[in-house]
Amino acid sequence: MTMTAVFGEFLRPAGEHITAASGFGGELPPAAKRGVITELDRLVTTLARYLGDLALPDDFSPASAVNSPVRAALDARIALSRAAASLHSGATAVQGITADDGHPAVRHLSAASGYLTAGRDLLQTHFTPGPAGQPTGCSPWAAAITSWPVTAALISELAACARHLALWAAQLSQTGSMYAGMPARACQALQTASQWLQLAGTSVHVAQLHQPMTGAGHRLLTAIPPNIPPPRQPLSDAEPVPELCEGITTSAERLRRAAVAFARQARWSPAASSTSWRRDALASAITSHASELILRGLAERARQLSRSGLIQAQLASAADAMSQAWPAWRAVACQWDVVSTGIHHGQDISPVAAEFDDLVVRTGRLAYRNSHWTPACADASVTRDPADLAATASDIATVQAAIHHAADAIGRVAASDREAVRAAAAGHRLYLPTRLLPESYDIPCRYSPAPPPLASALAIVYDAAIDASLRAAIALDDLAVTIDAPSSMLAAIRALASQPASARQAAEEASAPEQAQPLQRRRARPAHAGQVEQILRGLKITEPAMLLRAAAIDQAARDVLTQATGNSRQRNSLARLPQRRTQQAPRSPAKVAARDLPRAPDLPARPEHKASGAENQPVRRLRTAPPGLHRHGTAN
Amino acid sequence: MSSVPGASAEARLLQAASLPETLAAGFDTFEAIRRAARNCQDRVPALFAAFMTAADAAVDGREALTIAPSLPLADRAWLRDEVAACTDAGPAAATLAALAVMLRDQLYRAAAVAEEPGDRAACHDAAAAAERICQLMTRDDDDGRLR
Repeated sequence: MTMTAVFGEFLRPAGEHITAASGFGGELPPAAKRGVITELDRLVTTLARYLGDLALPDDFSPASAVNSPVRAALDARIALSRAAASLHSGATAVQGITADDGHPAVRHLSAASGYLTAGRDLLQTHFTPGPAGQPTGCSPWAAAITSWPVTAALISELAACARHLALWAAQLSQTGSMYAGMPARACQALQTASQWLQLAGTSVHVAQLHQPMTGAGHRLLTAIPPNIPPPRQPLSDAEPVPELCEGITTSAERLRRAAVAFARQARWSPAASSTSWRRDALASAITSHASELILRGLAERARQLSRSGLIQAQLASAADAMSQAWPAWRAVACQWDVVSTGIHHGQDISPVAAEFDDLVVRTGRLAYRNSHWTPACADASVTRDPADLAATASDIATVQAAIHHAADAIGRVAASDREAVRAAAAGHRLYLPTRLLPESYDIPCRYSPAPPPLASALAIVYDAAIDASLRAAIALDDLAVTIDAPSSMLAAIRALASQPASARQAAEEASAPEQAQPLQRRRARPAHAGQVEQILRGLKITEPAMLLRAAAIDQAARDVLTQATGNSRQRNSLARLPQRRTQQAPRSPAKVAARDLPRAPDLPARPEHKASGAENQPVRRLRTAPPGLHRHGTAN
Repeated sequence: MSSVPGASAEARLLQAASLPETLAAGFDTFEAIRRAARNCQDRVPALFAAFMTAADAAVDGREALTIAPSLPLADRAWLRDEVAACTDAGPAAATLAALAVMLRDQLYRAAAVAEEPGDRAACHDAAAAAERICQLMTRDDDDGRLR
């Protein structure tokens, strides 16, 4: 079996290496310390790039436009980029001086950096640059990756790394003779970086104490595979049930990716034709038909093995749902009998249609007793015995997972095909062979345009089939969660993707104003810059902290106006209000501004030495913000 | 009871004296096979995939012939008359298999005499579709003849 590495397999060892490296404490030989600074530079730069990849609002978004976890993530992004800048300055200072790259602490850091870089590369495979250069999802996982639960889990992991590194960097900068074998600039950089790292780690940690992230987000994060289709598993004779299940899962995975990849070519590819869509519908019908037989077999086997009533009921429910799916797909296939995209030379079919063959045959072989089953009459067979299908209770989960993957893949292919067919109909690219029309139609062409009712009928049967397939997939989602099948990840992904963004946003805003919201949506919402912020932008000020302060001042002004307006409107009714009404503490602009700036955690005490590059020092509070935050354009 | 193309389809294929007649007969035979396969697909669950796939292959064959330059666009009356009765899916499959064999052979012959490359390619593609129908519909106990 070919195992694909998932994101968790990079994230976990990275954390372990960071822990191991920081276990060396502050007492390191100068040469090792120089190596550590160089590796810290690489590592923290990678951490900063992770946060830079996230679809967060702009750093200088007004506080009123983002909620607390997003604000914390923004703070962490700023802090990490500054930590990276500080460390880069330190690494430059030690460049050319002999470093002990072989020291275990250096090697651990190097390994952590390598793992994190590889993990980031893995995530990047799910996105391609869009028309305007913005990342665009190109895999079935992309929506899950950009969802808030997964984003929050990633931020939490990165923040944990930052906290570990912060403590260690603080130790390194405080122990021993500060300048022994180290340029002063490198020591100062280490100090500064430790404070920024602490800020990055703690801001997220504090936000998550108030709003703990969900376990589902973390589970999904660690399970993200690279967007590389698994290699095809060629069919072989007499595959046993576990191999059939594995092959079905592989084919389904390849289908999902092929569907997303081909969707981008659907408008121009010669393979985006009625032949491909007809073949997809045929394969969906046969696979769903066999899936119903398999689910009936599993339901019977669950009864024989005295599995819980809930599992038996969910299996029966899934089989019932599947019994609605295949007739719907049969109707789509029948509709394609007379509709065509017209003359097409050669036998081009889409990669999706080509992938379906393995899925059809393996699902058939799982459903029927004949291990050499094919759709041909000569290979027709009675259905497989339930005990042969799933000998044990755990086998039920394995087989269920395979069928779950198949149903999920069919649903995704169907959605892509429907869009492509709609586009073909809108482009008047659907035809009827003239020879199928009555002779009274005197049309001197081989094809005539499909009448609008026929195109509408095609759209209707697609809608029905997609709906039926989705019901079957959801029934299998429920079952997968109940029996903790390997495919339960599909349920989690669908739960995120199936929520209409607007409804989800509305629900979150209505029920929990502080609840984290989908970042992509947040980014789409225009930030309403206030007067002060607009003036700064007019002056071409891009320094985030300055803009943050401006936004805070604008927000404070808006708060005052809102409060004043409210007071004015309610003046007449105030007397009737009960006296227990809580009086809101007045908020000064400075306090609001302080709230909006990156919150300072309990930073380690600053060393006696006053760094010359003090503009890189992180803020403790607004009132004690370092000079760089009060100067235009001087801070990094 | 389902309807399948029968002896008259066989006769029409055999009587086709020219390339256009063969193409027209082939087109109509594919369409008749498609309709018969659709009629039979729900009769026996174990044969669902076979008849569904055969209908799909018949559409492939018909589509291949549609673009043959020599296919006449007129003369479309025959199609609706060509049905024969059959009791169940097994014999229907055998009938379709035999008809597909004849169709394949006629189309390969037509490809051999066709002068236009478009006709030759269409006949080859359609013959391949007929071959697939034959493979799908042939049962172990079939002798390949019409019954």
